[in-house]
Amino acid sequence: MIVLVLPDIPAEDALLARAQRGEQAALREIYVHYYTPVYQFIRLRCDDRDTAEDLASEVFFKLVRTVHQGKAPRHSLRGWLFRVARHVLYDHYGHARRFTETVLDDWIPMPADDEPDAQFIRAVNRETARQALRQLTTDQQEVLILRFGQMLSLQETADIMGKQVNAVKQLQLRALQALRRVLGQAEIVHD
Amino acid sequence: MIESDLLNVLSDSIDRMADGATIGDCLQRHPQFAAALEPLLETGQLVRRAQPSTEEAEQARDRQMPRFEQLLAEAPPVRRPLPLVGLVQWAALLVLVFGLGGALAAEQSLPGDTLYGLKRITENARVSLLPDTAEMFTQRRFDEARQLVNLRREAELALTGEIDELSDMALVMQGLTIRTADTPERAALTPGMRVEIVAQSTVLGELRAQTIRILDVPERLEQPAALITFTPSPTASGTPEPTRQPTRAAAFTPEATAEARAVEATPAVCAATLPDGWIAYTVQSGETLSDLAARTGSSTQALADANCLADSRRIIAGQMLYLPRQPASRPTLTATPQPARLAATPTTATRPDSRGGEQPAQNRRGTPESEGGERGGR
Repeated sequence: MIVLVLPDIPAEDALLARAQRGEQAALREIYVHYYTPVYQFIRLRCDDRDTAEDLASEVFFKLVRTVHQGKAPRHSLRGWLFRVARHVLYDHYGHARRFTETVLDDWIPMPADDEPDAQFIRAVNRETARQALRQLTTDQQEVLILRFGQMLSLQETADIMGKQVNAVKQLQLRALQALRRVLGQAEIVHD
Repeated sequence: MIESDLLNVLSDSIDRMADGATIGDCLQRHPQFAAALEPLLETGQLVRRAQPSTEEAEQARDRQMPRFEQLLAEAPPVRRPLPLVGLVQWAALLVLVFGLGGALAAEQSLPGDTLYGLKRITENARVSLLPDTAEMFTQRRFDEARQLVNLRREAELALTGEIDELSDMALVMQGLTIRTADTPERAALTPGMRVEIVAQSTVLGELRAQTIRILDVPERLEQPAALITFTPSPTASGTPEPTRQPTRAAAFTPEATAEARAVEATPAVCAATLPDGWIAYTVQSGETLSDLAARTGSSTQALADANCLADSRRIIAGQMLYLPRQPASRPTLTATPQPARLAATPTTATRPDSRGGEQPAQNRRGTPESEGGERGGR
């Protein structure tokens, strides 16, 4: 069976090499450019900003520590960062299935429309969307955030999540269907 | 079966949306799936909209910066690598000068042998002394692989080099044939690419690839070398620049979106809107752009322009292309005259003893050369 690894990005690898040699400027550059996507990923998985901020920083602290130990990754920096982000989330929340205080019971079910249509979905506001997303399983949330939020390729998403490409294809469909169902059950606040 | 089509269409659409296509574009490409696809893509779009803005992320980043700086400051003194290199170099010198018996014996060893580890250590030591020898050792891996194949021994090995040839089931590097599995990811490989392959040699004398890592792509494939921009340029949509990776689409259909081309590479000129009546078509195995152009009464230039294909004009089986009309059926290939014969066989003339060879007497009407003859050809 083949696992096709992503093309190594020369600029990324160069940064990593410089960082490993102890260049603080390189580590700073990594922090400045990658904090945003890491934060965005984590934020959608958490209930609040403060936790998200702290956890995102944790990811970069881990990078610095591995560099100091001489064990920094040599390739695929972005993939490494997202993988660490996932672990940081698991560590923080334990292995809870869903990292959220809001539970499905809090939703007031709508009488009809379990499968909301496109127009309905378009009108959902951000906060509702986030809460709905957090009702999904961890895998489902991650695949949607990586594929739609971060717009990563199938292959890179598979690498980060430790899954086969075909599994990710299935997962993204299931995740979308699940999210759509949750939206259908929610009391939607529209923009 | 039907669901696997939806899986692929969905994934394809997600990729396209990542490259800047709208949901409408995706629905247009797959009209038969549009009803199922639309709410799914809208849901996905919703996730994207639900993301915190770049501003919020950057504020968080700036707030957290002091903590990061503090950790940086706690760095242990940088281990000067030199003394360590010195030790290795001494060891290498000893090995070279005194020709330690073990090291010599290891020279001939192959992956899987007890002494193979020593061979690689010795090589690394020599490379640290004389970096130019690295290339020689890379070649050695191929020699070792050839030996393993001849000996029909099982071992795991790694090879780095350029793909010389590629077929559905295998690739060739330095004259070595390495079998590959037929997975969708395989389509990303092209001849000329520099790859690192971890393979298994088998008792049948075969090499089977287990992982393939792409190291470099040839320049003639219009693909930006650096895929991440490090100077975040303000974009209207607020997309975080560092995370965009247009590779997989760019390799074959480099649709030029403003964001995807932020780094370099000449933008492809292409039709802003698709001319009326053009249809989406899935390229079949063996088809080329000129072939499709001929069969649709168009020109390769027109097809390339409409589909934003770069100079390479490469198309692959399974790829979606817009064509002015459904292409006329393929003319029978000269290599396989049988289909023509079947189509043209008069009811009486079938010879039971035909051994599959050409039977000229029967090919009255259906000679393969008459392309335009019965099928509406050009």
